[in-house]
Amino acid sequence: MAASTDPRALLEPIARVEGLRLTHGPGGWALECPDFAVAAGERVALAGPSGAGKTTLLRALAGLHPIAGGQAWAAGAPLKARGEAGRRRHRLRQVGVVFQRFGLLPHLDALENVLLPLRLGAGPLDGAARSRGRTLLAAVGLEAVAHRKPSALSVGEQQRVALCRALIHRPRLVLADEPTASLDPATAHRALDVLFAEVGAGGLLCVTHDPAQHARFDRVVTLRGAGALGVSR
Amino acid sequence: MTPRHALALAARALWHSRGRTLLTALALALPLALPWAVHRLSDGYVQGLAARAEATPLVLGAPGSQVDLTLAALWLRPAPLAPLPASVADAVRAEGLGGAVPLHLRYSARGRPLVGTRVDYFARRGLQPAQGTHPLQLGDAVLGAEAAAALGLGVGDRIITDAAHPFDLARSQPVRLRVVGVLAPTGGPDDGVIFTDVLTTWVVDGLIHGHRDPTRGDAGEVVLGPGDAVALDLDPARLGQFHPHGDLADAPLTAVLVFPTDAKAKALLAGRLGRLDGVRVVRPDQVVAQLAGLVLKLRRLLDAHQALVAASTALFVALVIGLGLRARAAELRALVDVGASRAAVVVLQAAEWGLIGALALALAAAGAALGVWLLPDPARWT
Repeated sequence: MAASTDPRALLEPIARVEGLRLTHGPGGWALECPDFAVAAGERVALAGPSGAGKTTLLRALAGLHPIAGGQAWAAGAPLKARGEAGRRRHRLRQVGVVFQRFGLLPHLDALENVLLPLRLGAGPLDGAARSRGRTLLAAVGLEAVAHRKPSALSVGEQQRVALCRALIHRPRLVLADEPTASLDPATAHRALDVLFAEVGAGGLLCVTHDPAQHARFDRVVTLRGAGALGVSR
Repeated sequence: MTPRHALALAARALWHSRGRTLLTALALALPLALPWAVHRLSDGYVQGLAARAEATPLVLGAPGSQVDLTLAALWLRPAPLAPLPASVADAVRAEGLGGAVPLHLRYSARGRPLVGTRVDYFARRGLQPAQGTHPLQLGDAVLGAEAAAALGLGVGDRIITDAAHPFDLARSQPVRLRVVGVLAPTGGPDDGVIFTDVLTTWVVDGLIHGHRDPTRGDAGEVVLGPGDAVALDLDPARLGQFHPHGDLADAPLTAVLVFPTDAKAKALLAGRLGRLDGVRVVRPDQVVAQLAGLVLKLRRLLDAHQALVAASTALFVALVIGLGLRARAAELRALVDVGASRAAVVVLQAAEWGLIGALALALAAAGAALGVWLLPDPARWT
């Protein structure tokens, strides 16, 4: 078991896994996840080859993948002890997730997609919330397309809308699965700026394959499959 | 998620696929609209029949179909009925148990039934002239509201009765009538006909006529002018010359409406008049009850058919819901991933189908109303 070298993670972790074991169906693969933690205010990149289990680990921390063994904490709460409804409520209010496939609703425009967690109960949907939604979209360069449906947006624009949706309710923990994969370097840089700024004192665990971005994170955790873990910086 | 947010999301989803939404709502609305319209029409029909029947306690006519007699006497539809002598109306009055209103329904003018009656008829039916007066003298005609509008006629205009016997020189020629009044609309069968005094219809029958000084030619021959060949003009200045040939007690009527003073008088009249030779006494409420029973039987048959259509529609809706859930699986998955509970997803789907159902109901109501509006007044189907 490897541990974080960052002392902040040991003091007040926003996310933590211990002896975590994830499986995929009966007879499917099993992931023995190495222990690590994300401290408050820490931005951690999660790297590793395709199939290493990065997305599965993120989904487990979001409460979307069942925990077969061990324990995981997200935004200060243990996930295994909670039922599905509890994990869902916790995710809705305390965690922001940028999904690899965005998961935008086709009938809502960009702004309404950003505000979706608030409609579902993550927080009040008032004038201030709408203003914040527009501000987030403007920050990632989407102010001009705030009222376009996803079908009228490019893939890169859709990805940035998904990023804003994950941030709208000021979550304590942001789990981002390749949030800049479809963006050009300059736009990706700007999107990460927004992501880092919005995470603030919370925690960020971000899957990324781009080595050029690794330098911007406090730490890079590398999953090598079969439980191997590498930690840089 | 609050109901307001659920409805907002559902409305956006439906608007996003508005073509599909409208098609689904229409598919639901059509099986609803048809029975709805049929029920409204049949209810109106039965109520219209019953109201008219209740307002006409007894009808006298020559022996024959009581349905034909009732429809002719109450809904003023010409029917091939044997004539009844006018003396029957006098016989009713002689009983002193109620009023008798004669009806003569053999002719037409410009395609509209020509109803010969007495002024009493207007009082019994509550018919008030919107313009002019009731027919007061020979040759006067009063138009029902719909007939006046359809024919484009008003007070002061003339209308010629249709030629009933164009090749029978022994019979009377068409008569030119003066329009002296237009009745206020009632929504009933009185709106579509032309009323005149029963004496005027006997003029058309040729039972009453006048004489003119003929125009003679140089050789003493009788010369007819163009107007003479077209129609008989009932000039008010010459009305005194008109006289019946024969006893008007034998003049033909189609029916006599009897209005007894009370229920006892009705029973007495029905019994006594039924004993008259060549007279049939009909109680319209009983005839109408038979007709209404037939309508209700047909309606039950249609209801059974509609129940099967509804069941079939419900199965199709279930199929559409199932296919819709499958087609939108990724979208619903995204909702759950963001944080929606499964219950919230169900509520969202229910809200969408609730809105579609509401739209279908609105379309069905509009369709039923449109159908009722476009179809003729059921009271006139008879």
